[in-house]
Amino acid sequence: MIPHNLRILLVEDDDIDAEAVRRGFKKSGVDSPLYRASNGIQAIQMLCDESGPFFENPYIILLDLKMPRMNGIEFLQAIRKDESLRKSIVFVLTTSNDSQDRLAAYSNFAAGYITKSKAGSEFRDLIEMLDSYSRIIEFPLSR
Amino acid sequence: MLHLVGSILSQIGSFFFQLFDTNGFPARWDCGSVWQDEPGVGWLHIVSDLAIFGAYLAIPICLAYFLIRRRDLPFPSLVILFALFIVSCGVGHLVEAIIFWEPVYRFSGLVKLITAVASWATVIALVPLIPSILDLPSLFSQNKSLEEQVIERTEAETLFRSVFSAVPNGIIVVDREGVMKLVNIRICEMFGYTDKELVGKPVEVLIPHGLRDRHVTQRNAYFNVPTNRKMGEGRYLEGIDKNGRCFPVEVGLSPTQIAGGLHVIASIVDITERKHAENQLMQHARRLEKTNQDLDEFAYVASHDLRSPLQGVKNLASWIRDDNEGNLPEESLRHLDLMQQRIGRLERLLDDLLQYSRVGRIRQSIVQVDVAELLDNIIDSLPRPEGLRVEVVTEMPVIETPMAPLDLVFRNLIQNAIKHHDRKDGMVVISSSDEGYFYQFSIRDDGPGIATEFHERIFKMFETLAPRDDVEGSGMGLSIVKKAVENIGGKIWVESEPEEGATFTFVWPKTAPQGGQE
Repeated sequence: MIPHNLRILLVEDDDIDAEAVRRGFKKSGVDSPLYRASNGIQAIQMLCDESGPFFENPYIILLDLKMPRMNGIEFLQAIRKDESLRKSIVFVLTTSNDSQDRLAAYSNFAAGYITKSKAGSEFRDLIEMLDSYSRIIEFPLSR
Repeated sequence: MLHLVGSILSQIGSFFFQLFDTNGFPARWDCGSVWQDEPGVGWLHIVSDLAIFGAYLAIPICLAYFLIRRRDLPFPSLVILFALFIVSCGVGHLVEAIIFWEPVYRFSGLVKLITAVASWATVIALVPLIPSILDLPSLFSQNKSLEEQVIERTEAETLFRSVFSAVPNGIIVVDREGVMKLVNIRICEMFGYTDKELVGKPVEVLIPHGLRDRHVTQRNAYFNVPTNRKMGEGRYLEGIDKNGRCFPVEVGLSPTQIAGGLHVIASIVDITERKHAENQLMQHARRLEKTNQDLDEFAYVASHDLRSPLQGVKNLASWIRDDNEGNLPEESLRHLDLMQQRIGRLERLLDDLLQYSRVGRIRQSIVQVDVAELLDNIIDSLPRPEGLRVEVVTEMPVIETPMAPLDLVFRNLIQNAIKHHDRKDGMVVISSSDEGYFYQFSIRDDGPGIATEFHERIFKMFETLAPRDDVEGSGMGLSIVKKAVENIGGKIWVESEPEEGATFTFVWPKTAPQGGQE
């Protein structure tokens, strides 16, 4: 099971898509708290908030690419420039399988690029992957 | 023998020695008393003989004059013989007159002998010439044919003049040195000169300054190997008019031999307007291509962007069902079913729309396609009722062509034949034939058939004949097929009657168009 102190930040502008991920997590019985930002700017604000849930806590970001105001790739570029955020683990979760998007994501140190069509029914495969991933890796910060 | 020859020679010798000796011959006046009694008779002879002599002397003088002035007179040697014969006749008559006083009978005899020889020589020369003389055209008929020729030539010249000025092309006749010998009115209009200003000038006057030297070289080269051809084929040619305006021209060249020298007839067309039209056409084509691209692009983006809200609706419908299991009334469950069915239909439509846009958008590489193998794969992958058979009944070719569109066409047509079949024991038959530049493929079914009035409509976008709740379909299958076939340069049509099945036939080029399938 995903460690319960691991925070997951879903950066997704579409409410239904966010709901779908939330339902998937709930159905799989993941009890890690799932937070949501609607775009890159909001995500950065949440990550930087010293009284927020991510401050000095292990977290994984699930990042959609097509978003208003600050899209996924711009978000990646922004956090890689930021001293305190550059360590973030980011999985891109998107419908697009565009080769340019893929290249841009990995160039900005995405941990993985996942298309929703391969995430399994109700995100089961994604959750399974996150499960094993978070159990065997060491996070940059742990408390 | 020697003695005989010697006596003859001595007799001839004494003849000539005594040629003018009159001894022993009486003068004619003394030959009989009648000459004395009627001197008028004698004078009649004398005057007549002298007149004849004069005339006979005048005739050869005339003939000689003729011969000198008209070297082309036929049979000159015959004329000379004739002149000689006349002269000797004349001299004979002169001698006859002289004999009235001086009886030079020996000389007279010699003159007659010469006359006889000359006459016979003329006769002998004349006889073999008779056939050729008979062949000589009479002056009358010669004149007549000459007149006819003159008329013909005048007519030909008039015709030439009017054609020369009436043709829509400009025409210039140029000699080996590049000098213009003849220009027609169109040239004058085109270049703004009068024909006096042009004739006698080098043709380079009509060519922009920068190109003149090159034209001289090319002109000389052309005269060395003159052929009928277009000038500067594949190159852009320009002329320059009197005001220095340059304009595009097309030039045809043909060599001709006139007045003993090689000339070139250059036919020139001002193609300013054609170029203008070509440019406009090209712009239109580019705009059209752009519009088509935009349309394909739009279809692509639309199908992508429509998909995600649709996915949302689909999720919501299934969550409502999941979250209210057992609590929803029957009616609402049915509505949810319908909703999900419509969502599925919309998804298929978006898929097809995407595919339609891809037919024009995606560049396909050309590969070797074994059609028999392709068909096997398609038939295997398509679900169909147990009793329905799909059979390939002829040899199938191997084509160098983009694989995806051919697969798409066969797949859609076979799928349609299966989907729209109304019996469980149906039969779908696939055949092909070699049509030269094309292969022709037919997909024939024994299903319900299609009425003639629908034959065109079925290829249009979003058209279906069966209600969508009976036979699921976006109505795009055949329009995608048509686009794919036409995009590669082929053609598709349907032959069918109700109750007699339908045959979809398409032709597919053996070689894919270059740059096609973009």
